Amino acid sequence: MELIASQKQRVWKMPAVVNFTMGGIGTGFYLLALLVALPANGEWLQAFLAGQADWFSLAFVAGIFKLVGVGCAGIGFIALTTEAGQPQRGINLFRHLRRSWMSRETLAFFLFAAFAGLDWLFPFVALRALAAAAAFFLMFAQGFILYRARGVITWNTQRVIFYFVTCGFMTGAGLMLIVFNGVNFFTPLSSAFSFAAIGFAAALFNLALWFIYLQSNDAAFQKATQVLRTQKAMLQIVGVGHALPALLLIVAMALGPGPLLTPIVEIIAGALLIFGGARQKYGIVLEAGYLRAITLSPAKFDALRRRAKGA
Amino acid sequence: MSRWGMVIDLRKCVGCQTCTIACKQTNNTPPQVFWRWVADIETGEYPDVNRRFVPMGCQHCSNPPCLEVCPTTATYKRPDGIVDINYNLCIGCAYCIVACPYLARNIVFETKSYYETGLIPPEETLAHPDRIGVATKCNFCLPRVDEGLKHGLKPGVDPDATPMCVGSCISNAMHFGDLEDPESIVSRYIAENETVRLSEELGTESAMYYIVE
Repeated sequence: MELIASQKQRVWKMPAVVNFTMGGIGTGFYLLALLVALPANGEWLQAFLAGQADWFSLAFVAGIFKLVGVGCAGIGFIALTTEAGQPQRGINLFRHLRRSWMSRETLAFFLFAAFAGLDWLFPFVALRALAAAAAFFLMFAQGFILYRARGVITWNTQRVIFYFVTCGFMTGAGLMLIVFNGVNFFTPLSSAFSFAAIGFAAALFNLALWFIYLQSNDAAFQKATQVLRTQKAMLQIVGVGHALPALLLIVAMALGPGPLLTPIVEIIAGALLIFGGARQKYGIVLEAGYLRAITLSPAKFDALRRRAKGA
Repeated sequence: MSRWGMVIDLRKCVGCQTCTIACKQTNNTPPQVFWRWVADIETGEYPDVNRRFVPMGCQHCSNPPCLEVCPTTATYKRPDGIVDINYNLCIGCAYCIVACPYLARNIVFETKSYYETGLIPPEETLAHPDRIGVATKCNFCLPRVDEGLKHGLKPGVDPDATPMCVGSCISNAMHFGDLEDPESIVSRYIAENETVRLSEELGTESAMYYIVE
């Protein structure tokens, strides 16, 4: 029996959305850029491994690759300081690594920043690998943070963890499309096709996980996520945030590498992918962030009532 | 070792909110913050309906979801089962608030008055600056319990060592005591009545038992 009806959580607001969105963008960007850089482009790989210093074409791009992801995740953490009541005690965040995913998220961010920063200063493949591991862990940790919030019915599901990972890759791919196509205007470095294909695949995976996330037999979950199934939300999330950029990326792949049109199409698609991911997280955290109803076990309650009436 | 808990007899609760006010007065909680509150609930379907009053607050769970998520260890569980908050460690991230399935936790970011004119002298005297920007909740009147024990009193029996909500209850619906002691009042109530706990399906093992019928 429901004693207190489900109600929307009101303590985590826009800064939390910014943190989850920017964390996903930053870590997804770093991991995807690493994957693209290694096999697809020999000059990048050489530059990363050897730390060559043709400052604009290689070192600069390598610097972007290494630091933009950290910068994005850092913006998310800075946003959180505007929401916390006593942010000056932030050092205490490391006190519960044994159990709290928020502690683990914080540690993962600092390791990510430290290893990526060191790799920027002293290029070394082991540092890159460590930074990538920390970034991947950070991506998971953000999903686990929501999952372990047991009071919120739409967060406390394992599906949210895997959704977060795919969303991180999708929004990271979006940023990658923007950054590297932007750089390509000045210094063509790589095949535009690989970026478009990655963005397309990431959008499809994320869309699949999004619909899996929304699937549940729990009536309370269904009710709380109703706001994410409205025509308007579907248009924004599926239409503008996934279908449109996927279409644009197909066009980009059909056009092939080109001096102007392909990069512009890919940049627009990248921005839309970021919008799609941000819109999803806004929906999960703010629109569908409903606290559980407080219940008395229906079976037990009915049995007690029946017994009392019989007596 | 003791394990403090409560038994609330919903058959007796009249919804007078005396416990709510007693808690506010004892703990000087700010406006709109209630560590103890009474839900006013309609149950059943017409024409077989009932009005029920359910005192709510921190359930002092054996398996508290708030404790697990707290990144600073500000939320901790004492050996006697009371879940408390160390305000000096809390950063006010509010993670515990979204983790608690009982709406038991609050956070305020500035000192507020009950009056439009601003803080009046008694409010200034009783303000708790240490509770600004951090999570707060019921602690079973922990200072009263500890102080009482120090003086040889028995929580749940001696009013001075018992949470104020229990002591103030006009209908004797609320009881406090040691769940581990089979002779305590709460253990006896649990033994002699069918009790339920809130949201039992979550496995939090709450220390608040309710007698429904």
